[in-house]
Amino acid sequence: MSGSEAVAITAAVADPVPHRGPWRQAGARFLRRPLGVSALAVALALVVLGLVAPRISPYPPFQIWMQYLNHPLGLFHRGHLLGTDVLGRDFLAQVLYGLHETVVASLICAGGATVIGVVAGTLAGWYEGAADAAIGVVVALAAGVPALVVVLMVVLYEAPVVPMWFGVILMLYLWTSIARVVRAAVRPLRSREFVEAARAAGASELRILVRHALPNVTGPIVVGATALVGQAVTLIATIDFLGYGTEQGDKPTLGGLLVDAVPGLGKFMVQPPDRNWVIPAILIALLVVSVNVAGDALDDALNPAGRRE
Amino acid sequence: MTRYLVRRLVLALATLLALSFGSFVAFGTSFDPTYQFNLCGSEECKQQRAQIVAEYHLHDPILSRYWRWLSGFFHHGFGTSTGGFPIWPGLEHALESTAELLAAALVLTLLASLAIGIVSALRPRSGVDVVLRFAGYLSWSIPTVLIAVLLRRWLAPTGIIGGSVAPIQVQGITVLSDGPAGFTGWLARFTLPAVAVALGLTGLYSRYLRSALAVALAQPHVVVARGKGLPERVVVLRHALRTALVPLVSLVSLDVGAAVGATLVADVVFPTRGLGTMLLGTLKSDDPFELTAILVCLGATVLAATFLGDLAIAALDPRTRSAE
Repeated sequence: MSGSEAVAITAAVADPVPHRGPWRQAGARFLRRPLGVSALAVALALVVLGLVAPRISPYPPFQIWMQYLNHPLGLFHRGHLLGTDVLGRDFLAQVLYGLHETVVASLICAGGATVIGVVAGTLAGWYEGAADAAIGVVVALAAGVPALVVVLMVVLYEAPVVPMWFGVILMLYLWTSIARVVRAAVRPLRSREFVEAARAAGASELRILVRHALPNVTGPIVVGATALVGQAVTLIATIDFLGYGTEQGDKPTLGGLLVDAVPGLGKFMVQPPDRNWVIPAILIALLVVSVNVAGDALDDALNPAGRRE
Repeated sequence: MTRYLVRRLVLALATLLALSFGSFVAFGTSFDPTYQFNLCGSEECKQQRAQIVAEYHLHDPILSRYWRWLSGFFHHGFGTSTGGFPIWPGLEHALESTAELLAAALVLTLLASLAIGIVSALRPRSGVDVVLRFAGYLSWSIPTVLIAVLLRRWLAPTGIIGGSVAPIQVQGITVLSDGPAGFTGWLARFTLPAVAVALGLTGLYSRYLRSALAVALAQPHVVVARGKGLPERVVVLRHALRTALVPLVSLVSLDVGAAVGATLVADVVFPTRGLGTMLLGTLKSDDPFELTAILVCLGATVLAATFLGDLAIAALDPRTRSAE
């Protein structure tokens, strides 16, 4: 009896259980979500398209074909896949450069804001007292004013901005949301046993933070970063729509193209055809929705315990 | 509780002060309200320019200008713009419009979120729940500016339901009217922009309410309420919803800045002539005094809404009342 048990136990121990770390497990969970995977694919495709846009664009965005002035060319013409706009400029080039602006600015914003937010949130969550209070006040101040207004103000102050600089301005405001999340996630870790064990083993504070605490908050960080991309795209589209984003003279923006939809707000005397604002509208919506859906699926994959159905 | 509210009030005032300082310094150092006089070289222009510079002390250091503005604020409010018009009357009108739009949008958001959240939480994973969650997800993801543009384009090309913005004469000057007067006029003017703002927010808050209500429905006190034979309506509305409302209201009041941002956008897309339209108009005139006034009003709107949210939480949650 006991002999067979021993054999069974030895067998179980000897049986090579494939070792799967938490990241592999999260990856497997993510792959089981077809919606999340396809959303991530769409988001990545749009991002790559946006990054390489200036290289693959068939024409510069400001080149004008005089024969189409006030008589925009329709879709799917040889040489002009998406036709032209009212000024006779190739519309595919307009859309590609617009996507480039949005993607570059929102990625810089999300990346930078995540770094700032993680550092600030960790400081606030790990060390009580002055650091926590100072960061709390900044976060409260930031919540007191609409992000749109502050960013608009700074963009104006710094005008004209290039996409990269636009992203930096957004970053300087949007890091507070990540800091809030990280602070809340780091705080309860301080009193956990593995932190105490690391401290007892003589690990330095920095080592405890980087090797033991931060890996436990990667889930919220990844989710917060993807949410930031969505937020940034929304803000960029809005500010461009209002006419104050990236200088719009010869560099089109998705939000700026959207203005043509509203009678009386558009830049042209001739009412542009609907496709000239529907295509940018679809791109903006597709980008935000796919990034958000992918972020939610990542959230579920990375936080199996706190899964919301 | 009183101490908590007083602390919030002090923080709010400090925020306003910081905001006024930031915008005054930023606009005051970067904008030159006399630039149009620099373009023409005549003696008259130079004189006018010198007059404005002297009147607004434009050559003083920025800190002393801010101090002058701040102490002047307590005597005669926002004063006059460098164009020579008093700032407050127009600002008051715009502020009113924005506050009304914000209030309408928030009420609409709360009502819709309650309805959707309750329906979804009572039948989790039913067809209705899935459809509602999907729709909410889309409406939350898509930027408000896009929703507003689509609504305006498809439902009200003039920006007002069932009417148009007709130019009218006021004291010999042609201005755009606000559309028909009275309550129906108000509805025609504010329905679509309020819906545009509320759509995005509802998508977010109905989700929160759904999960908060699902948690509340599993609580022991709800089981007890059911066990003692209360009708389901009373169980859900009085026992479960009451506890689920507190996190919802605190989320809404924490995030009211985003709602105000959305309101500004809807205001530009639809002709409701609130702070958004005014802000864009003023940005073109380079007047630091008017811009600061607008930003202070915007900040005050956000802080007032947050403060109302705090009061609502105190009314909903007895624990916050007894604390301290």
